[in-house]
Amino acid sequence: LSGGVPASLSGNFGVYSVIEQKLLRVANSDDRGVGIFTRISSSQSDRNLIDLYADGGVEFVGLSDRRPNDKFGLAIGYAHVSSRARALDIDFQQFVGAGWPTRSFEALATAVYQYEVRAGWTLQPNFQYFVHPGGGATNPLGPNPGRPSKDAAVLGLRTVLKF
Amino acid sequence: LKGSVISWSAGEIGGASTVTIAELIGEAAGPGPNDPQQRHRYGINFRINDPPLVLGELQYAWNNKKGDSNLAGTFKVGGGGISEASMISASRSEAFPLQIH
Repeated sequence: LSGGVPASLSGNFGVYSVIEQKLLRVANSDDRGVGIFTRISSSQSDRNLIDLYADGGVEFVGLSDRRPNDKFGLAIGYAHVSSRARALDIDFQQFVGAGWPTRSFEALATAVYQYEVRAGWTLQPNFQYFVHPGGGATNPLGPNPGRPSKDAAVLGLRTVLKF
Repeated sequence: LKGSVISWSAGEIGGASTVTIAELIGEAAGPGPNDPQQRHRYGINFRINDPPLVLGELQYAWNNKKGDSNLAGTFKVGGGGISEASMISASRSEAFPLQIH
C-alpha cells in the first residue's frame, strides 16, 4: 500500500433508463391491472462500487373486485461490482491471503403484497432473498472474517396510515 | 439526498414527452471533519457554493391520459453528474473492504 492517502478522482456521472408497460387493464380503471417494469443504470466503474444495476418486475394491482386496492409484486435485481473494486479485492489477497473473497455481484429476488386493511391503512409484508450479499463481500469484524457472507432471506413488514 | 433542490420541468413536448432538469446542491453541512449532523445541527443551511449535482431526464409516455382504454406505458432516459468529488468528501473509498488502523 501507499502512504495511506487515497488518490482522489474529480467528478462522477451516471445514466439510467426506465420502461413501464401495462399489459392488462381492468375495465374502467386507470390504476388496476397488470404491469411490468424494467430499469437499468450505469456509472463510471473507476469510481463507483456498483457500475451496472438492472432490475425488473411485474405488478398486479387490484385484480380482485372484492379487494380493488390490494397489490402484489414480484421483482428481481442485479448489481455488478466494478472491475476496479474487484482489482482491489485481488490486491487484498496479497496481504491477507489467497482465500480473501473477490466480490462479483449481488442479486435480489423480492415479493411484496400490499393489503388494504381499510381506506387509508395498508399492511405490506415483503420477502427478499439476496444472493451474494454485499457482492459476495466478507465481514472483517464478523465471526468468519475472510469468508463471504451467506445468501440471506429477509422478511419485512411495512404499514402506512394516512389521515 | 441531503441538500437543496432546484428543478425545472420544461413541460410537455408534442403532447407526450417531458423534459426535466434538476440541480441538487451538495452536502447540506458543507465539507469538513466529523459528523455532518453535528456540524449542521438545524438543517437550515442552504449552501450555494458547492459544485452542483445536475440531473436530466427525458420522459415519453403513451396512452396515459385519464380514462384511456389503451395500455399505458412510459419510457424514461436520464443521467446525472457532478463536476467535483464533493460527495466523496469522507476521503475513504466506498470500495475499501477493510479498514486497517
